[in-house]
Amino acid sequence: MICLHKAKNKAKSYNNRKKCYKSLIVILLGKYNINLVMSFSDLNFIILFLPISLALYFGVLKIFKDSTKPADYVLFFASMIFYCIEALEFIPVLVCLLALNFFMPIGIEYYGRRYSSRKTKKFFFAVTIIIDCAAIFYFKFYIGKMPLGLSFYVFQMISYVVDIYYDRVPIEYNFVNMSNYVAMFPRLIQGPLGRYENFKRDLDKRKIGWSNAYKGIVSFIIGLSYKVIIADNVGLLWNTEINRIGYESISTPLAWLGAVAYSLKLYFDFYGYSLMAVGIAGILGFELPDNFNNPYASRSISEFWRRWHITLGLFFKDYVYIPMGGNRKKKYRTIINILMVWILTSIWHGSSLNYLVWGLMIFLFLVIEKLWLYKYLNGTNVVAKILSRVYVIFFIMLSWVVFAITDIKKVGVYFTRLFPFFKTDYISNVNPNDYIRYFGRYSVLLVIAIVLCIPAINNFITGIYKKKYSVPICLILFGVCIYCVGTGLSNPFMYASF
Amino acid sequence: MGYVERGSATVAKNSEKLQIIQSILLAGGMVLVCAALIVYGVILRKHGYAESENTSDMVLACRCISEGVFPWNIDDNNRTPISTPVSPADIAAPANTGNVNSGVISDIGSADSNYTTNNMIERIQTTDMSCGGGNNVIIEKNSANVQYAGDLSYGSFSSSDESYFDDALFIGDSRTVGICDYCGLDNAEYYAKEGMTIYDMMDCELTTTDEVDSVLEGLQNNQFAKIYLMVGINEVGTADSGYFIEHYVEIINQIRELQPDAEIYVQSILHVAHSYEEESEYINNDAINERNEALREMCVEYGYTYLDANCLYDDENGALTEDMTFDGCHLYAQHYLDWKEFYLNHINNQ
Repeated sequence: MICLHKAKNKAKSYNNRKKCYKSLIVILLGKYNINLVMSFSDLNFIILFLPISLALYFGVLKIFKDSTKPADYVLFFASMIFYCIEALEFIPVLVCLLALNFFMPIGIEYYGRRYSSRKTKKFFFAVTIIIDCAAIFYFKFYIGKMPLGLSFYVFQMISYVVDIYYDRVPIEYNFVNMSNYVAMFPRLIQGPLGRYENFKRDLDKRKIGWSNAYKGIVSFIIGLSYKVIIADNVGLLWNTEINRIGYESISTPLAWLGAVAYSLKLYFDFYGYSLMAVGIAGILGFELPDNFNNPYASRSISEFWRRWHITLGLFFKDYVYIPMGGNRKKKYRTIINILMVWILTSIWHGSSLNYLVWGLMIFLFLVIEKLWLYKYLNGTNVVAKILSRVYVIFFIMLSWVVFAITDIKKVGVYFTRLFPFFKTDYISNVNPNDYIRYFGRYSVLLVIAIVLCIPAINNFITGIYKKKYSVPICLILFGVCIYCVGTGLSNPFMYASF
Repeated sequence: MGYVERGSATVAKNSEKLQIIQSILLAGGMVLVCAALIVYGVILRKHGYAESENTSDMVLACRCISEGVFPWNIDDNNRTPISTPVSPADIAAPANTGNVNSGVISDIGSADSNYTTNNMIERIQTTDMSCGGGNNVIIEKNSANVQYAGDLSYGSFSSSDESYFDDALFIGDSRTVGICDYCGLDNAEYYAKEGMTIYDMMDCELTTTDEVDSVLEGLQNNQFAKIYLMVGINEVGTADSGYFIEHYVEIINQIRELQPDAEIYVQSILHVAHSYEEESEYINNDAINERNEALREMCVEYGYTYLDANCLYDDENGALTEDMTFDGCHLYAQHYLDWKEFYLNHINNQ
């Protein structure tokens, strides 16, 4: 009887796992659309998808010692499966856009040899770029629901096509390579945007090795910890507590607490994800660029936006700002160029009005700094060092409040809570002591998060792979992360909806 | 240090070895952690901690650890049941005859239970619903007997002012926390916690007060003239309403032993918004209504007062109005003012 009982339970858990594999296969066959969202902080990803795809990748590498091509095919299929699991209904979009951006440069090159006309060449390149941008606009404004990762992988494709047009990179004739550049699963959903030339460098000479693998695993664990232990927990203060109460009913201290919490949540969520992406790509042998460089230690908003979501800023700089003339023309033209970049940035983040207001807000600060304030912020005296950082944190926090709240009227309500000097009808039923409980609940976590914004400390933590004691620390962090994910605190990445 | 004298090749070899060892240790450690959790999850399942097949072993293990179930106290019978969602199919065929406290429900659907669904429906149809139940009565203020449209409360009511609540106690889940924070009845006492269920009501830690550590302690050390209870939303996924009501009756008996003179007000479970219903696997307004009907039945049978505030917040389909909530489950703070009026107009005068 006992044996039967044991066998039954063994069969139960085996069946559980078998179900996971079965559902993966079923998705491939497209039989039905399972809503298995599998972000990087999901157990399905960490326990199943990642180890299996890594094992296959390295297994194939070992078997075919002289070439990385088979491993590239593994990566390609793994990335496609990843996207199928995440967003099966949008896989046609990804495949069509990949095909378009792959075949167009080849076609243009082929016909260019026969009918060499620069204007026609330029025309067809422009058409490709326009279709890419149209895809973003179509889903963002017309349909309203964005395919997962569209904004990111379309930008990758645009960078590839533009670089080919300017002859900066050779055309890629292998579809798998081009697809891996755009859509390799570490960077597919929110990845650090990269350049094709860097990818090609790694493609030809893969940076595989134990030290890179170790660095990658540690980076993954640190990123996971930032996301799951810090961002998700701090985010509860904003997502559940404050949003539940309603902005018209929060006290001023709680409103400020909320602004702090959101700013930290956004940072650690996206930073954690970027670290995970860089880590996984590092294990695979690809070097992805960093996305963050201690932004909250900046001394000006201009500097902040060179340290926050760095790869997006570089993309807009290289493909919009500089082609429009950058800062090489007259001052008013420079300002217009910055305005263009920031309108595009705000549209990229979202289609509702608050994003536009947010973008214009940042633009105004950038202009004020460029025209006058910048040199004062970067003064060498202690007062300038302190005041500049306070200035950045204060106004960036306010800008994130505008960014966070989609309904523009509610943004206004929130600001009347932040600055209760104006008489307003918007307040309703405020409990003046509400912040005491939330402060008690979240203070430790908030302090830890704030401390981790200090460059020296964050750099120490991200550089911990160099230390000998990194193994036990990473194991403990990993255990805590799994615990947090298992008890249901993790939620899908915030930036994934852009 | 010694290694400066060695050639760079040896240094590289040593550091390469170190990297290999570190990588293997870390990767191996991660695999061990996951394997340990999966094994613990399997063990927990063998001990009957979850009837549902939808929870993976690791998630089950993490949840149980968070509720204090460790390998050394896994068979401890004094713990409250873990409220893991139970699928309806599992209720019909329980795997194990263990007692209630190990999380297994063994006596659902038995013939002796007074609260099987069919029984309830019959009894409701014979209940007198004349108190404030008129469907087309508009709210009239400043009259001796305020009526609310669609009010399913049971009892004989009149209005009073806030001083009635000087010796009142509110016990409940996150909705009661909201009432504590936003109803403005600060003279009352509140023993509430987010996620409170009828199963852990007596022993759980409380959010709304520091003066007592648990409801049990508070009831032992203080006397109240009126006690308002409101739990149920967190238990919708666990077992069925018969089991829920049985436990509710037990709890109320416990309370009445400790507080013999207290007036008991049982409150309905507030509805959830339609958007919430669509996304949730177990929580929907039909299940909530089933339990509310059972609660009302219980009050009729035992003579408690039953308050149903859903008439304040329902839309035309009987779900919580979408505009009144952010997450579909909790009201915005500004709407609790109506609830305060509701309390003041539903004072039991028998």
